[in-house]
Amino acid sequence: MKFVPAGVVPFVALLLLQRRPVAGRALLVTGSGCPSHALCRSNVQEQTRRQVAMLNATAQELFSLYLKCQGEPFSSESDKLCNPSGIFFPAFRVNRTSERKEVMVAMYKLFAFLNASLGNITRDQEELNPMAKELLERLHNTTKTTRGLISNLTCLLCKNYNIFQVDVRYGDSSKGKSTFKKKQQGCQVLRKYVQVIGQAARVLLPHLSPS
Amino acid sequence: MMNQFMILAVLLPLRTCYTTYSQQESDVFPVTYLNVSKDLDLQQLLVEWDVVKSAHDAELAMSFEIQVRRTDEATTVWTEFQNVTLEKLGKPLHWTWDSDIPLECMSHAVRIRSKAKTSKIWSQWSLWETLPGLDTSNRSGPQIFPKEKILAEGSDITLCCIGGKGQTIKEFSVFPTVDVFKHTNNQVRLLTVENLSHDKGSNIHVYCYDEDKRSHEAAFFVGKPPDTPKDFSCQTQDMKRVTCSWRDQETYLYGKNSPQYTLSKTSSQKTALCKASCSKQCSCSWNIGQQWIWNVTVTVENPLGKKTATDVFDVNHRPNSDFPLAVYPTAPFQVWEDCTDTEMTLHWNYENNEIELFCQTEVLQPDGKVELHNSSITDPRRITVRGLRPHTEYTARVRCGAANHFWRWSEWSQPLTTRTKEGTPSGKLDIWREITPVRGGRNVTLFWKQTPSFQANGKIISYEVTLKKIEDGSQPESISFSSVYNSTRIFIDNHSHRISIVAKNNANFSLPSVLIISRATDNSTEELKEGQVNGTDDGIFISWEPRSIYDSYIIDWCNFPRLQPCDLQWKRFGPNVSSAVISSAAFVPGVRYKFRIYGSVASRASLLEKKIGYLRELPPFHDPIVRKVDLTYNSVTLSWDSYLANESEPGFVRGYHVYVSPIQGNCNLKGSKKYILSANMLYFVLLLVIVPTLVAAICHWKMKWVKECCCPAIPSPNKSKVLSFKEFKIDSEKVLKINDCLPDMLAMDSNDEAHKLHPVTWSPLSSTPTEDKIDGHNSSWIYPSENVARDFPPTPKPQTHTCFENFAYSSPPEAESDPYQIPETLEAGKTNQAVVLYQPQCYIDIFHEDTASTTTETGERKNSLKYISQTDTCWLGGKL
Repeated sequence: MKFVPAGVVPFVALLLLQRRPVAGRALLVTGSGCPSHALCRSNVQEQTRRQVAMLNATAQELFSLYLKCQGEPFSSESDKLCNPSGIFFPAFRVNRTSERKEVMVAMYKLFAFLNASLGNITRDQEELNPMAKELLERLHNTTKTTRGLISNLTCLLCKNYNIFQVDVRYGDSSKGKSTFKKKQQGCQVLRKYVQVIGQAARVLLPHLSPS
Repeated sequence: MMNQFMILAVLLPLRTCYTTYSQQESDVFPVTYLNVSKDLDLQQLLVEWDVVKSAHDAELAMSFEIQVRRTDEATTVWTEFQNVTLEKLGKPLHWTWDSDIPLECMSHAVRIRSKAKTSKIWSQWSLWETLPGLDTSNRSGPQIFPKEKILAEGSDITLCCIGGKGQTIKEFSVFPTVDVFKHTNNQVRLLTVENLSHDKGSNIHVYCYDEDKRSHEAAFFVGKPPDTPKDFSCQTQDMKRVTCSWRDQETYLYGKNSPQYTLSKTSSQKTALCKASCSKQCSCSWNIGQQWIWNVTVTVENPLGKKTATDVFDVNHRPNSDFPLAVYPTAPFQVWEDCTDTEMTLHWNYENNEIELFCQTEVLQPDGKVELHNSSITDPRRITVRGLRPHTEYTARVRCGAANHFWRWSEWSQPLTTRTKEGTPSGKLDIWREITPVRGGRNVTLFWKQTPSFQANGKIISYEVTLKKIEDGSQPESISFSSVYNSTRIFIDNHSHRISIVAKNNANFSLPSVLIISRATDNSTEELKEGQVNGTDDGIFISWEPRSIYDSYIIDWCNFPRLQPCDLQWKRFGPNVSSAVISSAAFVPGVRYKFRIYGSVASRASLLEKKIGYLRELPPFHDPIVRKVDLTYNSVTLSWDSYLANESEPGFVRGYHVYVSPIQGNCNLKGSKKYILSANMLYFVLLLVIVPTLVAAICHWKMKWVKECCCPAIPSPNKSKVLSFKEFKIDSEKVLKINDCLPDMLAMDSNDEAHKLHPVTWSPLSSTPTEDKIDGHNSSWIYPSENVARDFPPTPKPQTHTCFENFAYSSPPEAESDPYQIPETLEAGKTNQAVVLYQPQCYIDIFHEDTASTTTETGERKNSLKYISQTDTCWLGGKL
């Protein structure tokens, strides 16, 4: 299933910038405030919830396929090699009782980071595993979904809380790293992603459920 | 003096020895300079050294022995001798050594000694010149060497993992797991993988960690160096731009490591004409400008190697060129046509005006066949295709190739679909007629159809019927009908007429089809017998008596004989045919079809035979209704309405079955007796005889009871419920059960009045007397009497339990089944079927017990014999 971003179309070009693996401040919108009209489509809330649910449903398969395509020792030693403790991953310290605004900002930070990291992983795998078509397709699809999700979160933050600027930290670029390190970094990010996306889906559910 | 001589004698050899030694020592030129460095990319030791200048000045030929030693190994790992003739310029000497393990893994040391070729004395060894490995550096974590790189399939590689200073390597592994040679040296671990293979995974991974769990990993791609490009060739489509192509080969290296191709002039390979990566197609193109002769090289390169292939071609496409450039013309375009009814001239254009081309046209026929036609070189832009069918759609396309040095065809042009013009219809219509006499003449219905051999050669727009009276030479009359019609009815008088029918399209008329209707005569053909024909799996089989005078035969029939119009059909046969299977999708079982067979000579048709038959016969729709049951003291007489002998019946009625059964237990056909009557029987007389003595004994024994029950004051057999067959039906067959009051005498009627039995005398219509087939009994006869049947008055009676069946479909009771009985009866019935009207009445012979039952059954009946009154009060409803 594909989701069409329900957010405002001009945001997309801006959000593309966020794929670049740099640390810094993510601008949700240009200018000094949110657009005053036509910010969100009517189903943006439901669509956001579905996007997170879909990412949650596909994350484990993506991780497993990633491991398989890297070759040994990634599958057999994934606990050791893919341990994400050594990498940066945005903190996601919200729960179901957190304020909705807080949840939305945390979500934005999480998926902005993920979008950039998935971009890096996809680029690396295109170089290292160009014949792994299924993995590449899944990575592309997941990246597209996170992109749509960011667009929807952008419009929700603007519409509901007039937030148009969020500080986002991105992961380290894998450029220039060794083949093994590139594989390992992707593995670490995806493993953490599997853990966090489940939490995000649980947290987001009460906040985006139809009222 | 003597002593002096002695001294001299001793000293002289010593001096000689000294002089020799000094001379030899002066021929030794030890290494004066030694430097060792490394090229880590190539994993080579670079050794540079020199000797004294005098050796250079003397341009001595020298030998050098070079030794290489690793720090962890006590012995020298490499020894090599180098023979060099020194130059006056005094340049230092160089030697390189390829290390089989990464130079980073450990320290390497080199020493050299020398010897002049003319000398036998080696110089002293130089001091070891050591190149330290990374094992001596102050690093913290483990490190794997060599660094990640592309490895050639089939090669061997030795890897090392160097621990940090003072650290011990705990594990050093390669994935996927392969056989390796491991060398251990506390801080440095070595392993060698032999015969590298790409199919062990996308990468070879190496993993190493030390006692502090610090790790280092590396990944290596394994692939193949490129092979020489195969099938390298160049071509042009327009003589302006050349495209060279070749075949790619698998290297198992992808992305940035995949083979890169560069095309260049062989004479100047640094300047690329074009580049390609073979991701989709291995080709690249460039503009040839004014250069005619080309010598080009394609170079393929990947991280593991480089290969080249060359091609030479002459762009000037002369016939005598030794190496002409292959021409692959562009597809022809602007294809258009010019048609007649049988010819099509195709015209086209193409871009390759500089090259002499010849072209080929493919014409797709309506039947799917393809024909190829080559154009002439003198007229390469046009071709005429002949022998086409009129008013037929053809699809054509064109391709071209170089007339000189043909290499390959161009792509096909866009297909052109066109239709030839209409032509004169070929062949004749198949025509037929149906004649109905009417007052003052005849109504003739004319039919026509297109046979497979008839070619309309266009769109038929009308049919023209021309009628001409033969005798009086009157002017013919013509009527035109639209193409939607295939029949018409005309009236003609009783004279002979000649009728012709032609089909007309936009081009012309077809040849006329003629039939002649002879003068009407009184010889009615209706009196011809209607023979019966049989259905087969394929249709209805019809045969006729051949006559030599006819040049053809025609069979006509109605597809829907019960409708009007009945959809008359006809079929023609040659003079040597005397049978045919007529099939039609309209034929259904249970419908009687009539076939008329005509002989035709000189367009005059004469009716020869008539046939009737079914595709498959079906059982009668209804059981016959028994109209009358007359019972005497020893006989029962049945009469019923006969089936109509016309086409309304779903099969030929060949006879009737009458079942006679005693009442014993349940009423069913088991134990009953079947009497088979030919369909042409009017009366069936059956007399059933019971052993008189038995009856007499019973009657005498139960005289009083018999009298009360069977012989009421006014006894009437017709009132007996015993013989009532109302509502008595078993297995779809009605059963007449003869109870204990069985008739005991046989009588036979020829009309209303019963008459005495006499032997059968068969009329010619009945070829075989049909009778009850019970052996040893001639007390049952069947009388084919047409007159009696007509005179027989239908008498309304209660319906009797009588089973009537069409022999073709009836399944007789198993106890009565006689495989020889039915065919005989069928034969008899068949002979008389068509001409006899019948209204049968049956007399059943019950006089002899064997007539109606088997011995066993008779015994049972004897045991159960009892006299039952035939009045209502005596009705044993539960039993019958």
